[in-house]
Amino acid sequence: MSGHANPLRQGLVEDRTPEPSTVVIFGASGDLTKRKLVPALFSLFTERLLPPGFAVVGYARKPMTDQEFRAELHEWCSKFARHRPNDEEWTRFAECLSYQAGDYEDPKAYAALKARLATIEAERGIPGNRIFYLSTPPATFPIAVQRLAEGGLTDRRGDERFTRVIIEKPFGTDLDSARALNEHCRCYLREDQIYRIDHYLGKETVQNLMVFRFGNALFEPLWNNRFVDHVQITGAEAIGIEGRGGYFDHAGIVRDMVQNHLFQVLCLTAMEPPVSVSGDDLRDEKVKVLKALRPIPDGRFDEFVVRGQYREGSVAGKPVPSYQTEAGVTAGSATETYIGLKLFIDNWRWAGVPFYLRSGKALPKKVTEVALVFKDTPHRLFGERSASEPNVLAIRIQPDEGISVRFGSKVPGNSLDIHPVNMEFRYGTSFGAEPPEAYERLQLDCLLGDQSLYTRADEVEASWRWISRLHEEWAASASNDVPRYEAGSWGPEEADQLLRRSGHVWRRP
Amino acid sequence: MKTREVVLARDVGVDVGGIERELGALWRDASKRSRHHGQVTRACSWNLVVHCADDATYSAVRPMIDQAVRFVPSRTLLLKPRPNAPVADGKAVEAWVTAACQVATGGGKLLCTEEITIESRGPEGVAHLPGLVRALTVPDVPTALLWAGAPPTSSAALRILLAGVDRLVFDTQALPEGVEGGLAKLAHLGGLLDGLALADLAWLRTASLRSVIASLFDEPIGSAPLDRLKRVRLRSTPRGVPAAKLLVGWLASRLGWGTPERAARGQLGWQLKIGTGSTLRIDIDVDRVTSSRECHLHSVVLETAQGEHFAVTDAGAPALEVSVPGLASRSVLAHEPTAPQALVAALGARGRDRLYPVALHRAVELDR
Ligand SMILES: NC(=O)c1ccc[n+]([C@@H]2O[C@H](COP(=O)([O-])OP(=O)(O)OC[C@H]3O[C@@H](n4cnc5c(N)ncnc54)[C@H](OP(=O)(O)O)[C@@H]3O)[C@@H](O)[C@H]2O)c1
Repeated sequence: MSGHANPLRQGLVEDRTPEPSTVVIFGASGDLTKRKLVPALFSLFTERLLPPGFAVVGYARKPMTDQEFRAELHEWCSKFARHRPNDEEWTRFAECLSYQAGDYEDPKAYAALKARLATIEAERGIPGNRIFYLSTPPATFPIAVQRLAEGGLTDRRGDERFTRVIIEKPFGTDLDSARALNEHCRCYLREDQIYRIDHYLGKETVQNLMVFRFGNALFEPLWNNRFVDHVQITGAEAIGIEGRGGYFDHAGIVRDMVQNHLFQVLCLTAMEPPVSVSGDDLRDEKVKVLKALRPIPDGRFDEFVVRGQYREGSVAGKPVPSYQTEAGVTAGSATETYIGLKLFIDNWRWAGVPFYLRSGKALPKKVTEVALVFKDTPHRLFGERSASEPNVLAIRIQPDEGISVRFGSKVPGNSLDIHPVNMEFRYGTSFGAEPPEAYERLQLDCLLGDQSLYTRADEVEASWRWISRLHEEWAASASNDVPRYEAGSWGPEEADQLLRRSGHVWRRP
Repeated sequence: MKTREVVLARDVGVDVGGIERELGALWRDASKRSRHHGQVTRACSWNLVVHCADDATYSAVRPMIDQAVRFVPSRTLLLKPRPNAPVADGKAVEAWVTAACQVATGGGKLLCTEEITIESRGPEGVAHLPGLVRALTVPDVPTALLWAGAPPTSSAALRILLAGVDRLVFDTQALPEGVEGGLAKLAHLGGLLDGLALADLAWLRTASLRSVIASLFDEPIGSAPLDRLKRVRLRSTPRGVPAAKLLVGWLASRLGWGTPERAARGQLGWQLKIGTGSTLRIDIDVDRVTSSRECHLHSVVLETAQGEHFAVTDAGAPALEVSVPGLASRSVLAHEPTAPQALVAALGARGRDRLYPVALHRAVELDR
C-alpha cells in the first residue's frame, strides 16, 4: 500500500486509501452492478476512500456508450447510493466511469479491453493496478478467468502491480464443481489474487458478532458447552421466489442461503478467537469450525435434516401463491424452499451442543439472528416459581440489528413470582451514523489487498463437503415427497419435531 | 419536545433526585404519547457536558447540539455559569429537563435523548457545577466536555474536568485573534490530566485538507521531494492561524523537522532544520487573504530546493485545486464537516486522533 511509504499518510483517518487502480466490472449491464456495486463505489468516492487515480470500466455484451452507461448509473446511484449524488459530485465521479462492450469468450474482445485499459490508465495516472469483478452468471466465471490471463490482463507472477479477481457467488453448486473451479482458477491466478465474495461478511452486524464476542470480557466465558444448552441460527425471508423461479428451482434454499451466508454466521458464532482479524488468521478459525461439523450418520438423515416447500398462503397480509405454481418452477419440483438442520460441532468447546439452523422463503418475516439458549440454573432455588423460560442471548443481524438478553425478574408484589424480561441493545439507536453497505467495505478491502472478509478455497470446499451430502441424499432418495408448509408460517411441522425430540422449541424471532 | 422546570432550592443544595424524577416523568409521558410509534427507546452513548460562558454562545451552540445528538444519543448537561449574575429569588441554581424524541431509522421505535440545562448564578452557584456534573452523569458511559466559544486557556475548566471528564472538545479557531500562547495553554491543560483526550474541532476541519496534502506524495511521485523541502507557505485569514499552526505541527511531527526559530519577533515566519540538515523556511501569510473554507485556510505550498512546487489551494468549497510538478493541475473534492458533523466526529474515533497531541505539541513550539 502506498500509504505506508508516505509519512504524511500515516495515522490519517483515510490511511486506508488504496493505490491508484481500475475496477473492471464484468456483467456491468446487470442488476448487481446498478443496485450495489457502483453505488458502493460512489459512496467510497464521496468519503474520499478512493485514490485520486481511479477508474471504473463497465464490461458486458450489451452495446452502450460511455455516456449511456454514466446516465444509467446516475439514475441508479440516485436511487441506491447511501449518499445521493449532487451535480458536482456526480460530474466528478462520472469522469471515472467508462464502458467497453465485449463478449466473455472472444479473445479479440479481451485484446480490445486491454487496449482500452491502457489508454484509461495513461490518462488517469494509474500504474496498471486492476481488479476484475466477475458479476456475471457463474457459467462465465471459468472462461473469464482464463481469457483474462491469456490476454495478459491478469498476471500470475508476483509483480509490482496488482491484478485481482473478485468472483461473485455462487462459487460452485456442489463439492465437485467448487473444487473444479478452484483448480481452474489456480491455473491462472494465485490464491492471493482470488477474492470469493460473500456479501454477508461485509455486513457491519456480522462483523459485530466478532466484536461482541472477542471485544468484551463478559460473554466469552459463557460461550461453550458448560453454559449453552443449544444455539439457534435463523435466516428467514418473507418473500417467495418472486420471478427468480428459473434460478431458484435449480439452486434451492440450501445453496442460496445456507452453504454461504448462514455457514459464515455459524462459523463466526462457533469459532475460537483468532490470533488476529487480518490475513489468514480469521479464515483459519472459520475453516476449523467447518471441519469439525459432524457428518450426518448414515440412515439417520431425518433426525438431522428437514426440508420443506411452501404452499399457498399469505405473508404479512399479502397472498403468496404455492411454490409449485411460480413461474420458472418445473412441475412436481422437489426443490426445498425451507431447510431445518440439527448440527453438531465436534470440538472441545461445543461437544454435545446442538446448533439448529433454519432458513426459508415465504416465512412470516425477514430476519437473520443467532440465539444462544442457556442451560438451567444448577439448583432451582425458587422452586416452581423459578422462570420456566431459559436465559437467551439473541443477536439480531438484520433488520433492526441489536442484541437482547432474556432473564428472569421478580414480579412486583408481596409474593415471589418470577417472570422473563428482555434487556435490549439496538445498534441503530446507540449510533445514529449509518453503517456502510457490505459492498463498500468488501470492494475497499479488495482494493487494499485485504482478503480476510473473503472466502478461501479450503473454506468453500469444507462447506460444500458438508452441504453436498444433503443433495446426494435427496438425489438418492426414492421419495420426492417434500413436506409442505403454508406460506406465512414458520415452516413445516416436521421442523418443530426436529427440535421437540430433544426437548427444544424454535424461537419466534 | 417537552420541557419541565425544576427549581433547585439554594438551601437544600443540589436536588439531583428532583431532576431524575422529572426525567422519569418525561419518559412516561413520551411512552404514553407514542403508542402509534411502539416502544420508546432511551439511548445514551455519551454524557455530553456543554459549557456556555454567555447567552450568545449558548444560542450559537444549541442547533449544533440538537443535530449532533441525533447521531450520538447522549445525556446532555448544558451548563450556563453566570458568576456575575445576581442570585434571583434566592435561586442560585435552576435546571430544566427536556427529552428530544425522533422516530428511529427504519421506523417503529421512538428514540429519545435527554437534556438538562443548568443555570448557576453568582460565585456560589457556579461552585455547584462540578458536583452537579458528577451527580448527573449517567454511569458507565464516557463523558465529554464541550467548551463552547473560546477554548479554555486557563485552568478555569479544570474543576469541571476533574469531575470525571474523559474528553475535552473545543475549537482553537475560536481563540481570540492575536492571542499568542493559546495553544500552549491548551496543551498544558491536556498534560495536567492524564488520559484526557483532546478533540479540537479546528483540527477535524482540516482532515480532508491534510488528506489531500498527503495524497500529493503518493505513488508515482512518492515522498522523496519531502526530503528536499526549502520553503512551506501557508495563506490563511487571521481566524485560520491556529489551524495553520496545527498543520505545520502535523508536518513537523510526521517529517521529523527540528525545533523552529522565529525569523523576526511578532512575525509569522520561522526557520528550522529538516532531516537532511538543510534549512526550511515556514511562513503563515494573513495579509488580504480570503477563504471559502470553514478552516479559513486559503493555500498550502510546499517548495523544494529544486524549485518544484506542490500546492493545494482553495477553489471554492468543497473543491481544492491541486498542483504537482509535471502534471496539469486538477480540482478535487475535499468536504469539510458542518458544525454538527464535526461534533459527531469529535465524539467518535477521530476525537482521540493520536496525531493531534503530537501536532499540537509541535505547533506550540511556533509560539515560543
Ligand atoms: N443481484 C443480486 O442481488 C446478487 C446477489 C448475490 C450474488 N449475485 C451474483 O452476482 C452475479 C451478477 O448478478 P446480477 O443480478 O447482476 O446478474 P444478471 O443481471 O443476471 O447478469 C449480469 C450480466 O451478465 C450478463 N449475462 C446474463 N446472462 C448471461 C449468460 N447466460 N451468459 C453470459 N452473460 C450473461 C448480462 O450482461 P450482457 O448480456 O450485457 O453481457 C447481465 O447484464 C451473479 O453471479 C449472481 O449470482 C447477485
